[in-house]
Amino acid sequence: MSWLDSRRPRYDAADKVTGKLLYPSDRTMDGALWVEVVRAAHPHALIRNIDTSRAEAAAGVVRVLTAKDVPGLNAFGIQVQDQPVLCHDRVRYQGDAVALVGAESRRAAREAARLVEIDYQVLEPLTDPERAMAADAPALHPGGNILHQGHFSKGDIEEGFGKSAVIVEDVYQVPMIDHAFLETEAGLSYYDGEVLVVESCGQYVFRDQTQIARSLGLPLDKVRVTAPFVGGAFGGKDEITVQIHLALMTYHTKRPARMVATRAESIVSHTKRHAARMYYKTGASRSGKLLAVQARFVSDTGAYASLGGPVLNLMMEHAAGPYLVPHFQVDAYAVYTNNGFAGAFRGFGCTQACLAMESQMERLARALRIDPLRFRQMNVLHQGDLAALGYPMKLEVGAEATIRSARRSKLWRNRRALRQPPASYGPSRRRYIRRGVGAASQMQGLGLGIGIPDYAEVEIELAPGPRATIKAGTTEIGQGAYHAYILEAAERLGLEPGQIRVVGADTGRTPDSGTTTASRTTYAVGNAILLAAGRLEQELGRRAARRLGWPAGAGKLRDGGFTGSGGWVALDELLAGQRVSARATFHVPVQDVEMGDGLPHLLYSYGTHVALVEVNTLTGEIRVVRLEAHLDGGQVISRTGFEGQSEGGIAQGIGYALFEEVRLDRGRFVDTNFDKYVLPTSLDVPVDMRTVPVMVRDSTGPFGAKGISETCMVGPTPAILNAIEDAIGVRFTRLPVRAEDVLQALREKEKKDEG
Amino acid sequence: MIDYLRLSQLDDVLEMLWAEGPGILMLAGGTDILVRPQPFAGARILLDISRVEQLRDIAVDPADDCLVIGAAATHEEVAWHPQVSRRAQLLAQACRLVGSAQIRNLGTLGGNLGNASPAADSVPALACLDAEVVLSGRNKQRRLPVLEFFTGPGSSVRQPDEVISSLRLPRQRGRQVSFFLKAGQRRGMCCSKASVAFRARSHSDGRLSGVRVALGAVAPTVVRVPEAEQVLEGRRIEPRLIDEAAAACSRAARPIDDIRSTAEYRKAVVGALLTDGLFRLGDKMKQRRRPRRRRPR
Ligand SMILES: Cc1cc2nc3c(=O)[nH]c(=O)nc-3n(C[C@H](O)[C@H](O)[C@H](O)COP(=O)(O)OP(=O)(O)OC[C@H]3O[C@@H](n4cnc5c(N)ncnc54)[C@H](O)[C@@H]3O)c2cc1C
Repeated sequence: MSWLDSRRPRYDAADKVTGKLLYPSDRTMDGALWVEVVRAAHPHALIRNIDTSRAEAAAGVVRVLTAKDVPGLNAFGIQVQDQPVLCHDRVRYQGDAVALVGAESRRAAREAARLVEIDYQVLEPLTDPERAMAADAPALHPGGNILHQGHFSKGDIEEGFGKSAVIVEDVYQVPMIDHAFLETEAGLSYYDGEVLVVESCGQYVFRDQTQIARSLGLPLDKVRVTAPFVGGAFGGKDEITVQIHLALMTYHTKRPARMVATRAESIVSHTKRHAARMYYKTGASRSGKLLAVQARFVSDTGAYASLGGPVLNLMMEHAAGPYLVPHFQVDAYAVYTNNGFAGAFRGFGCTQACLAMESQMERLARALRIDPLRFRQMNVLHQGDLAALGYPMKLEVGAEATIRSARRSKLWRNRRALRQPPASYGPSRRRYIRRGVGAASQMQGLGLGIGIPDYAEVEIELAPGPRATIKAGTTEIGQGAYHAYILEAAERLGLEPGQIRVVGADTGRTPDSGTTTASRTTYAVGNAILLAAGRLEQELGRRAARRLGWPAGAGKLRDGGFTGSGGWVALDELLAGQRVSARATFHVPVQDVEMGDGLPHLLYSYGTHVALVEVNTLTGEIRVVRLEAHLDGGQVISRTGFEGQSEGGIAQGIGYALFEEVRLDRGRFVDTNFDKYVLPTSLDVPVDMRTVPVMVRDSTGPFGAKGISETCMVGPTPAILNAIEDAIGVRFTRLPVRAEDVLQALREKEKKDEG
Repeated sequence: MIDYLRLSQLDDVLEMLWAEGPGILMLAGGTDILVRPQPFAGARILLDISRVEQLRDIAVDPADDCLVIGAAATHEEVAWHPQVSRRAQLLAQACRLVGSAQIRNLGTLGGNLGNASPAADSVPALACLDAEVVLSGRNKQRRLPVLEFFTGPGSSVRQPDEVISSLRLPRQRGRQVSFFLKAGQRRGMCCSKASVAFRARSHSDGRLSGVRVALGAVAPTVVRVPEAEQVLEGRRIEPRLIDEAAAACSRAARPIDDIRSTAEYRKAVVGALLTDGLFRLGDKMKQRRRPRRRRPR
């Protein structure tokens, strides 16, 4: 029996819904101090003086820490350490930390935090990235305001436009958005003997360990970081949040310390999805061949680098979508401003680029009067083709398979009929309620890309029972990765899923399996599980020879036992009360061309989304009626997980399209709670969601699997925008599209049509 | 610090209000109070009235055939009560669109009024149903038409020693048609950017009488729109009249820009909501008037 593509309840589901499983925000200890962060009062200011004396004297306060108490490097950042742990001379965004208060209660910590007196010299905030790029703009960092830029061209862009029969040109604008993970940043720190332990909420415990040790000036082996179960992140906890602050308080007080951010603090302080302006010009021939794509990106990376560089690189890499394009030019800039700070977020740059490119593709198809999905199919990349940036697509390319699958669906085939609102709407309403169908295709690089170390080490231990334990350093962040590991291991080890458990994300107990990001864990950890299983089999072969006198040689784990040269033997008999374990490291394969940090990828997942939307032309309200996802993630490991990812991605894509925007007013956050930051509810997500796995097996993947956890949120947004255009003939180039915008656009259109 | 007190007898509540009036903050479902930045500002006693059974009854008063809804009845209780569904479908419809299931299970009609937000969803419905608010105090009681209760955003004529005890909805004669529509930032868990309630009696020839139109969230208080009502009074629903009535609604709106929407949109959308509702209603009424063909046996 195979466990692949199975629908089984997640192994952690019962513990999560009954509250048995503890999250970082649940963890506490006797005598733990509450840590409160004093954050910047202004998005941009110089610090003249910090006076902590009143706070120190306040009731219940144990310690107040400032920059001078940071023993090691007072800076952190995944790539560039440009963000102070505690600011001492300058603040660059509203979430910047200036001081920490450790107190006996949360209330005491909060009250004392208000007593820390900081004397600021307020500076004008830089809020427009295009202005911040100008040579005369005040520099936020020593190297100027351009964090990263990339330029690439292939063919001759002018020649491409010259040959084009249709050209579409426009500017797309996407807002900064929040990850809206359910559990805010939280953790607990304490000393275990000599070792400083931080139980945290991060997405990569080994990197967090390095960052903590560096700032505290401690050797790595004196810091241990764990984060097995975290209440959601979507990239928002990839960068350091509470970890160094907690460690610093415990370091100085020798007491356990705990933090749980309020929602307001969370929204103000953590990274966001990059707001971007995207200038696009695309051209195609009369017969429907995509000839030229020119793109210019200006992405607002906010106050600090975090992953702003790699995110920009992925925007460039995916600027032309999954299409063959002979003439291509891209110029991209990630610019520092005082608008919060941006970093990793599910989709990682593809989200932005795909919105623009898929809008352009739709408009070209309409101009050429070609079925929009056929137009995409005519131009789609195949294995062996050169991608936009000029490197070959070496592995299996599932893009066309997802387009075919979408074209075969009832939703696409019946789209003309579906544009008619249902008869139940009555004759009058059917005149002003409009429906439309739109599609979008995308690819999404998987793994960290070339130039960034990308490996996964795991350990598998077999014990009498028989039972198996997988030790993996990645985090179960709600995505279902541990469940996938169990199914992959069950399949490979010949055990039942119930016989396998996962010990996760603990620098003291698990090997380094890399980041919990970039759609990589099911793929990379899965591959490492297969490698480790191979080693186990060699070891078991030796054991069988020793104990049972079988001829030397490897064998296969199967049906709860081991099949080798002497036949089949039950694992328990072979183990004879002992444990056997093996470790293995899988290195994610990369391209041989290197074009910059993480640029490009070798592996991609693919998807085509189709949306049916309804627009009430009287009120401007938009409703997503149906959404289909045709996703190529190779072999599906857990169907339940696959669908869960896809449906969550659809909801997030709807939020991006219709509701979400982090509003800033001169660098200050306007909405700091979910009462005003509008997320989709269950009523805003269609009941009618369909996820179709298009399994183009990947020759490098475990059982042919790849990840889909980002692809699935990238496509819904442009598909919705394209469907809106199909419904009412209006093209929106700015997110989110609100009822107010629809009504205004319809009025303008009416005027134009009349005039 | 604030004292918390929960009483279960209406008399005790009235006594308490009489004695401590201005220092008391009444708490029903708490769904408005507890989300305020300073929930208890200015109060000394938090008086929980959510368990006062006399304030939760929903029943018909035999004396005048009014439907009486206790002020501490929750939106969920009101929305699904058989008497409400039968006699005041419009109110049931409005209550079903309040917040989310969690909010409806806690939030009360009295709180919706007491908070005096112009965006309160039950109020346009109550206004169209000619509801009266009953205010009770120790040894006193007064009734007033629901819209006379409000004096502005967050303010009302309630005296510190009074509780909203119930709402009285007179029986409507003849076949009633109605709708409540709201525009929000999303489809669930949201306050109205604008809302429209409509009620009328429909006659067998398709004519309407006793037309009521009320708007929410587009003025300092919920407002009726007599101009729109007159356009439709005694007439059948037809496109020209719909346009006129919708224009009257937009004219009557005095909205503001805020975090949820713009004044311009609100002004437009109240008309649009009325238009949408009337077209739906018109189609439904036409369908009903069309004699149904008997299916051959
Ligand atoms: C997430 C969310 C969504 C919401 N969505 C909606 C919505 O869609 N539509 C809508 O209309 N509202 C909405 N609300 C607002 C709120 O739920 C309603 O106004 C609800 O009816 C308030 O009732 P309550 O019993 O909770 O009031 P409380 O919070 O208990 O009280 C509100 C005020 O009324 C006073 N009060 C309460 N009962 C009485 C009484 N009997 N006599 C005198 N004064 C009294 C209180 O003293 C207080 O000043 C929402 C609120 C939240 C938090």
